Amino acid sequence: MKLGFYLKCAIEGIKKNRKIYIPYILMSSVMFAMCYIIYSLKDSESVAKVSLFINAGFFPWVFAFFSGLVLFYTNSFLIKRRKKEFGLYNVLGMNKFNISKILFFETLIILAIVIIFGIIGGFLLYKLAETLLLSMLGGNIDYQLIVSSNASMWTAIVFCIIFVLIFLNSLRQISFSNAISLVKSENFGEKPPKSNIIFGIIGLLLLIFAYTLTLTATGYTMGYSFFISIILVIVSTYIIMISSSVFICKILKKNKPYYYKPNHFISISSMIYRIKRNGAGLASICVLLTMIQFIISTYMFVTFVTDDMLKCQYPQQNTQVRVTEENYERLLSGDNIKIKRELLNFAGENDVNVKNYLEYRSVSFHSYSMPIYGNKINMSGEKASYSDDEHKFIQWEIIPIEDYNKNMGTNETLNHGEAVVHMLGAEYDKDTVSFAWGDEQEKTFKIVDKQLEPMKIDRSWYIPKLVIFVSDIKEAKEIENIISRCGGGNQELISYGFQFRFDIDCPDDKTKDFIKNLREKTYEIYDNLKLKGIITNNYYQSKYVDFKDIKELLFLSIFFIILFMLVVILIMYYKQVFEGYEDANRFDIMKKVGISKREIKKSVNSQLLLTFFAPLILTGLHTIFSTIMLCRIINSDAYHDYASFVFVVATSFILLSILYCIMYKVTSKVYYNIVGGVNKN
Amino acid sequence: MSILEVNQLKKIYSTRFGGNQVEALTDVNFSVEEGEYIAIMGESGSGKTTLLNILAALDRPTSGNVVLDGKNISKIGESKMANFRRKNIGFVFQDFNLLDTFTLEDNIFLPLVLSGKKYRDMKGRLNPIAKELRIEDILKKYPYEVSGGQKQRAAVARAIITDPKLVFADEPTGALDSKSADELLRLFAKINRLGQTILMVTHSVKSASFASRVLFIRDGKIFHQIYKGNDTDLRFYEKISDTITLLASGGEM
Repeated sequence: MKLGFYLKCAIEGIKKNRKIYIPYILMSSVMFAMCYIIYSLKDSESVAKVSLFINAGFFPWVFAFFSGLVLFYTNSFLIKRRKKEFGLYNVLGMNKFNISKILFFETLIILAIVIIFGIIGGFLLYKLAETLLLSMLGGNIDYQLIVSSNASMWTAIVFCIIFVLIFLNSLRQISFSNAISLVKSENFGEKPPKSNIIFGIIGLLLLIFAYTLTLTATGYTMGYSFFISIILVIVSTYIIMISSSVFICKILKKNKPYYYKPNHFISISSMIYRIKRNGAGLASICVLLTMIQFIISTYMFVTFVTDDMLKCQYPQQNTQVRVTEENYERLLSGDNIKIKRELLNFAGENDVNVKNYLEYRSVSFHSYSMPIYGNKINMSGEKASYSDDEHKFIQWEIIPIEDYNKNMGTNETLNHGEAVVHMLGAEYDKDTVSFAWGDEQEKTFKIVDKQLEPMKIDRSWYIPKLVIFVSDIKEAKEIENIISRCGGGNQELISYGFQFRFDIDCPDDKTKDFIKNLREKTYEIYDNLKLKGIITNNYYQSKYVDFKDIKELLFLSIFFIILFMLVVILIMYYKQVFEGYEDANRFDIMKKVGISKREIKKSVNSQLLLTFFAPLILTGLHTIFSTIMLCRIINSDAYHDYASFVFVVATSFILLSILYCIMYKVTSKVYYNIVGGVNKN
Repeated sequence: MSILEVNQLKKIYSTRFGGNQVEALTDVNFSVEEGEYIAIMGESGSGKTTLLNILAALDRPTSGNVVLDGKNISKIGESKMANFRRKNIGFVFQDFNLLDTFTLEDNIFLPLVLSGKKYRDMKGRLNPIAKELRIEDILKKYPYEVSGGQKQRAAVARAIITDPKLVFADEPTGALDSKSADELLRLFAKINRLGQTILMVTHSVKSASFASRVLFIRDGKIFHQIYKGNDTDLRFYEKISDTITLLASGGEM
């Protein structure tokens, strides 16, 4: 009977506080459902075939950890607000043990509701998530509906642990205070917050420093600098939101003609308190929004760059076979014809049409810090001049003009010692080009001003390339001799051999198998002809297989976006509810002094707008710089379409802002209800 | 000329679903002359606060009307009402009703700021009042930093800074210790002598004895009234006290 009483108290407690518990329960349920889904995905056989990270198994734990963290803090915040209620129980003669029984039942009831809702929600949404993931990764989608008992068990246990911790924390919060302070906990006379100018300035300087870093970092330190600047932005957001906004309000307050205006007067004075109490909350909203936007931007970035990168790598032909062969004689012997025949026969056997066939011999290599000294490319490095501009990789490809003629159907000729330079994203405006190894060897070419229609030649997406046509393969070989002397790591970068490129033309479903078989086939050729090396690349392979892992990460990040969004909603909602209760009293007083509903609404609007839109504005600023940062990572002439990347980021930011506004509108209704409700009495 | 006229005021509260009806005011009639200091007395539940709320236009009567300075306040719309209240009525409450986010000075300025006054004008108005109420030194403090008496004096300053036609006071001494209460009552008397019309609701005989006229309200009606005339505070105190005893024993006047 006794226990029944506590159970009743617990049910009443939740009911009475439904305004704050319903969102909490809903959020817990959604988190439960997401944990369940992630765990089920790990168990799914069709997912297991294609996934990398989900299979690894740690992801459900990571997600559960974050969910637990959010719920833990939310609950401790809610209990703090309910201290008065518990204080009243205490004053009425319940001891802390009795109160803890009520708390226990409350936690138990909430947990039960969360598990039921969570499993139902998880079950309903699981198929959606699985279908989405499989279609992203290209797995086989089946349409069976199953409840994973494994996943239900695991999630239920994890949430039990989370709620036990939450319960223990509530006990800790209750037991460290006496009855009177519990009753009075909301009525402390509040000091006006002190503005800490030094902190504010430090925050601002940190932010400026972080932004500058994104603008100025170059070369190898770029990734490192960007990482630091992200951390700095988060830290400074908190510092600025907490300290300098109070500072700004105080400055406004000092400006008497500005301050003593009907709409500024009330706004500014209560803003100071509001910001102080909510600085951390607002900063969290800002950081979460920024993270959401950053994930979206990164996703856009990857999809955009992937496509661009592939366009670079496969300028025309979707399939490449690259044969490396160091035996110079073989390049002249006609092995290329053998390879060509094998490839074409193989395609024919598989009913695949080959189009746009291209074949050439070349020497290609990379150089770091474009070792140009005057007009000399000196691979020894001794005379290399390193200026900032030259601080990047360059790719070189030396092709005999006869191979150009063969492919383009032209009849161009070059004399010995003459060269034509085609620049792909690189710049070279000298009259001659020399290859040297120290002072010992030197091969100089005079650059001829000959207009050749460019061959569609691949290049790495972010590395500029110089294509040099020379009179014949012999001269190419000479350059290779010079370059290969620099030895060491660079040696590996030199490839000397044949390039075969063509478009395969067959139905989509056949492409996948054909590519796989083609790879096998090239190894066969490699073995038969005893070549030094062979590489097959294919556009579809790169697009659908090599980028699969990134896509899986993106899929997982959707869960985090949802989680972050939920936290933002929760922070907003609770801010509105509790501020509503605090302000209701205040507006009641003001109404008696002589302020109309319309004026109240106006003042409230301007306050809420400012407090809620400050994070959005700062998020916008962060987004501008993160976009600049991403653009600077691309930093390549291969990528020209900054405008559409920026456009997409801007669009996604606008969508996010609209979503945020809707969230604001909905939650501010709660606020007006509370404020208006008290006024009626 | 009477500054406030109350005619056949009636207020009926009904529960939300129109169930029980409670008649808070049945038929209230009285008028207030300029410069008067009136106390309205009655037990709790007698309809004092309802009356005051209607007079201050915080609540609407079921029937009857209130005419303040020749204007029927039930006819003023909600948006104009706030402005009207700000300009014509000062309010002093039992629990001070100061805003905790403002300094005392800003609390006092609140109605003026809402009327769009300049800082210099407001400061000019505040200086003599602050001196009179002896709150000059604490103007920059926040409500939680000062005593109850000081808070109430600041509230009085807020009520009179707009130079209102009428000051309403709802149990102004209710939350004060006796010393602060006495001080506040003397202050009211002083303000009244300077020409301010005051209407105070109270159930403290002591408070009422400072007034120039006392109205007794019972069961939603003005039941009786007595004038101070040339009586001393002490003599008037006894008169009021006797009246209450009579009323409490159910006697008819």
